[in-house]
Amino acid sequence: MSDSSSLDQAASFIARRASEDRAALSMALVAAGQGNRAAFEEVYKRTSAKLFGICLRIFTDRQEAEDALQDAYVTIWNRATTFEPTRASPITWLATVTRNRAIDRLRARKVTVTAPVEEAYEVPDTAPLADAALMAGQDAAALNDCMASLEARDAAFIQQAFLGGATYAELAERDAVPLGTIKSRIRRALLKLRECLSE
Amino acid sequence: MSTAPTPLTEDDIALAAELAMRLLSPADEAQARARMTCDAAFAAEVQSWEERLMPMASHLAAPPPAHVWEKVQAQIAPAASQDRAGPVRFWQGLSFVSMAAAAVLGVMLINQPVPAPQPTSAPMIAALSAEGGNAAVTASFDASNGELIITPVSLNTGKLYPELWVIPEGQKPTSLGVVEADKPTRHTLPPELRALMASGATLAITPERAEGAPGGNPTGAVIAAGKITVI
Repeated sequence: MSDSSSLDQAASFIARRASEDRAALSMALVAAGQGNRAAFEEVYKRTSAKLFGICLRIFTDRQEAEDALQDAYVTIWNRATTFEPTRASPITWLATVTRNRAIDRLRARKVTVTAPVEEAYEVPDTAPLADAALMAGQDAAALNDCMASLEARDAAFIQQAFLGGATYAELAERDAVPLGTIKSRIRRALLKLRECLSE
Repeated sequence: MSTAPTPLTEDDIALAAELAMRLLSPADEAQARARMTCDAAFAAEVQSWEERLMPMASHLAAPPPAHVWEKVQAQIAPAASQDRAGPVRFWQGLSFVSMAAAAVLGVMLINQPVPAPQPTSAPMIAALSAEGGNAAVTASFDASNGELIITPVSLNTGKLYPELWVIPEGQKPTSLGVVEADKPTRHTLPPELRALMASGATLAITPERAEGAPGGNPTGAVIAAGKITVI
């Protein structure tokens, strides 16, 4: 009994910390949008490890990941005025800008360089959450549960596309499956995922 | 609550997911992205997908080397004169915002059938910033045909309407008309107003009633201003 109540206390402490961290990050990002460089540095300090993790997942080459991260933060500085703290969570906004910039770079590069095709899809990542403070831990747990409710292959496709930046065409080529088949599978799986998350 | 939004179909929801995931081919992606600009419900669904899916990256983290931050700092334009934009600087020294706008508008202008550049008809731009240095509105003016394009970036006039003024150096404001707060507007200026659009003149916005300020004089406080620059 006392165990569970102290667990609850710990959970509520963590939740409070997480929400304070998010509020502080939101404020720093808004201030950065107003041209405040110190606030922008604060945004960088709080988020660069997470955003570098995203870049490293898209570019396995470290140098390319560093270039993508640099590009992402310059874009964040230039676009910070468009961040709306009442509508978006700051870390999702930052991670989305970063992921989109990194994917743009990846696809621009592929025009001239043929990227190697990855051989296998990986098992959906259900690793314990190392950095739950910024991304709400319960969101990640709910997503992991719902991903686990999908067919393993569909979940792997979704994960590869989201974390690796693969298009339908690339997934189809990698898996030697017709484009239409992969498209309808993933669409169906995504709708199922949405339904599961809304429960 | 004025107009009930059209509910999204399952196809729309799946398309929003595909766009957030970046699964689409370049052509399909461009089409879906264009839809975001005119369909708020669809745009909101794309954002919801980003929120839904981003926790997939929650386990990713790796500290970057220190030189990344140094390079970022070197790349973002120095804003020494912007950080503390007081009332005087508010009207001057908009070089940082102007340069950013020049880059954006330069691209926009390339896409338009601008006649061969002549000294008198070079495209002009202005970035109107709010107090504090935030970009509020960008303006581009093509002197060869009198076309003025006003693009709001972040403009809030509450229940009033944004009226645009041109203030030639040392003269009083002349109205260029009421513009939209939330979407770009295109105006063709009559010859007598075109003559006022020159490098060094200031563009400003004041909140006014829907039909514009009475008597042709601004009544509201200036909420955004910037100088015209010839590109």
